[in-house]
Amino acid sequence: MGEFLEIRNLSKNYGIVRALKGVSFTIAKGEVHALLGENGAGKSTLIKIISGEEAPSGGSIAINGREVREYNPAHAMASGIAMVHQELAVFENMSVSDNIFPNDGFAAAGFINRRRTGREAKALIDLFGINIAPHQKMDSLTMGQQQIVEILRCVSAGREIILLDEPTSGLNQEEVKKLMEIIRTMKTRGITVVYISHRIDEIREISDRVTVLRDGAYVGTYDNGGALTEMELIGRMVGRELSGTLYSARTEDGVAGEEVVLEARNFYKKNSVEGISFSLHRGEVLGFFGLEGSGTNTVSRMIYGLEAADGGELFLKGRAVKKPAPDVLVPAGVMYLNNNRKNAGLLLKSAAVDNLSIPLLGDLSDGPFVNRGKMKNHAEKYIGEFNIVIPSVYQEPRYLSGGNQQKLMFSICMGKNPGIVIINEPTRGIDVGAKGEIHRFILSLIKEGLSVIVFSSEMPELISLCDRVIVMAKNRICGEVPKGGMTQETIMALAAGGFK
Amino acid sequence: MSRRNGPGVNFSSFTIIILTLVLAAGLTLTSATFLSVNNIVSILYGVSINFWGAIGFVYLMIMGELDLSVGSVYAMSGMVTGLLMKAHWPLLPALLLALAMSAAVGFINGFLVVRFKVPSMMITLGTMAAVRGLSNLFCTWLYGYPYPPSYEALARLRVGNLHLTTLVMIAAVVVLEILLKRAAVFRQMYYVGENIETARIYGIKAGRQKIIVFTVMSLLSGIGGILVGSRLRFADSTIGNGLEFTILTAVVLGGASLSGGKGSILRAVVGLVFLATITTGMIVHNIEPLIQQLIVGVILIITVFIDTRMGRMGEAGFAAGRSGMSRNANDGAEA
Repeated sequence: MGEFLEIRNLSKNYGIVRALKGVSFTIAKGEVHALLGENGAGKSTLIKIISGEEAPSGGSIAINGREVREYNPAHAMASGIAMVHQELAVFENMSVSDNIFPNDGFAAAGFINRRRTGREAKALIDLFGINIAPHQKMDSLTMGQQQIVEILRCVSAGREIILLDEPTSGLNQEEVKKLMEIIRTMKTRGITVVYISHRIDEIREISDRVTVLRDGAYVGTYDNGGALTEMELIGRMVGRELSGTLYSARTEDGVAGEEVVLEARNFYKKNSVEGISFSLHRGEVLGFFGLEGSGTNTVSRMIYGLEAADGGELFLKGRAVKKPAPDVLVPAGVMYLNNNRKNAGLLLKSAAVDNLSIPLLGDLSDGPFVNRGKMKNHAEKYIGEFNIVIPSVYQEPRYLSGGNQQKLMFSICMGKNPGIVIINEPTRGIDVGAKGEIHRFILSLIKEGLSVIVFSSEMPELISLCDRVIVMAKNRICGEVPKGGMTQETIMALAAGGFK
Repeated sequence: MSRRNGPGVNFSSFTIIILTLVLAAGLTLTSATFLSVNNIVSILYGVSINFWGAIGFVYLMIMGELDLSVGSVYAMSGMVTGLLMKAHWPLLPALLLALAMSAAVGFINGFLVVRFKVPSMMITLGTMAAVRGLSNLFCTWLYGYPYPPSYEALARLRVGNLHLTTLVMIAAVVVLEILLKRAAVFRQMYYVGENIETARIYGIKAGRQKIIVFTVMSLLSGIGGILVGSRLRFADSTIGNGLEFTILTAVVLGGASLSGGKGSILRAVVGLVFLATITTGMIVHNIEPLIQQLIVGVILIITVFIDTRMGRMGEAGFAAGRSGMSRNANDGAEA
């Protein structure tokens, strides 16, 4: 096996965030090479560069010894690289064979040769031993089958390197098995597969070698001769040493009392999450951790009524909430901090003063009319309290930095004086300084009797904030880690293992 | 990027007002007949009837929706009034039932849009056709029936030289514009229009609010339709044809955006005056009336073009603060 794809001292910066820090390793022809790392370790950035979606800030990659000069998807494709995204790119209204041969379908004189297209598709499908008919419509297939069709498209186009980004996140166990077989078949045909995942059992099963990334840096490449243990990989993934002062385990004791302020009983949603039950005590910070695709995001949205559940009961201080929805929960003192502030959570093109007034316009009004003086005072108070760097209360949030946008969202929620705050990703995509500030806000708030649920994909963050962490895997709660004994290893072992 | 909240008012707020004045001045100079009391009174009279459909349309566009069924509801409500009076109902109950039916159309629009998350353009295109069909049927039943004097008089009430409808419009514009800028309920509409998910997350009942606004929209269109019937004195199948187009153009000319979050009642009415002035101008200059439609179409395209271009520039941070909310907030700062 020769060196086929060489990654040479690759780095990538997004503003001040260093997503990749001088990563070097090689991928051999015809191997299955796994990339392992936590969320934010740099896996996605790395494959985006390989597939030409992003250009590196430093370093380069070389294919067959030739350095890549142009980083764009067309060039990567011409070099034989294909990427199968987590979000599938299929034509849902067309047939399987059309999806495998989307370009010309063996056209003669401008007309698609359906018979030949069907025959070729059938040959490929049979080769991989899959139970799909070429004429089936794509939208009649399961997610897993659609993904397989997309992989076949890459194979049919003669791609030599196929990048699979979290290919199993939407698949059931049967489909995962099928995928593994397909990867083995591809290997026999000399195709190189780069397999990105944080599911350690799968990686141990399928890969020849594993490269581990952590915080954008290269940790090492390991032969998977069957000797790699799960704990070893987890240890390398999270690192022995926890990084310094930002993430120190919470030292002060919580003020968590006995009183249950919020209880969720048996929330479920078909084909999504099931058996979600938990309770939140007064003054407690309860964490939810799960790797991508584990269902934590769905849970946070379901509890708050942003996504309909198929069943489940919510109780606030023992009283049942008939139909959880923001317009019921906000007056009851529950606020939600969204994980994606670009989509929802801010009015990016309205003045900060308006943003801060959204949930409590009634309180800032005299009768039916808004009182602009009150609005302005309220805005100034919270902008000061949360240390938001903003030239005036009339500035629109779209001109603010990510950290200040996040703090603004925080202050919108806190302006309503809530008793419970559900925070979905408190510090996504913001710089280290602002992260620390937000962590301090959260910890100071619980002293005032506030109760908080934090959904986060960053384990260190949860460790430094939470009294308890509930771990989810495969759309269920698979365990709970109390404050004593909360380490990245214990959490990750639960999250990666799920039910075993 | 500093905020542009210096003294002075955002120029774009006055664009349509200035355009209208320029147009009127041009017509006054080029035509001896344009500037007459009769002409002005008649322009305002026409506007005061279309105005009822424009109010709700402004609210809807602020919330990021629109209602193409407005013209059909205009036709229907007048004809329902006529039919009931033909069946010897007194005027008042006939009016009330016509309004109730109009409101029902709006409720259906709103319910379908909110419940099934369908674009309002498609839903209201459907009700536009359906209600038009219904009113065409009513029209055949009313063939050869002149409306009774009590109904006919409604649109003809005058105070001095001016029609009562014109005076009502002027008063309503003042009140509604103040409410739009100051009342909490209306401010929430801007929030919903800019980002409905954000509004929902913070507890605003966005869906319910939309259904109410759709209902109010059609109810007000019903009032407009009653006035058209009264003015015309008989049922005509062309009533309200193309009205959705006129109103949409006027509201967009008045600063509303197809992407929601912006809009003004006052400027929408000025937009209506602008369009009516163009029509009058073409009449006094003896221009083929069929070209009117061409001109109005071109105006709409230009306006939408400017709207989307400035919108994009706004994204990039070049344009002055055009967002309705921040402008309002600025007004507060200056006050």
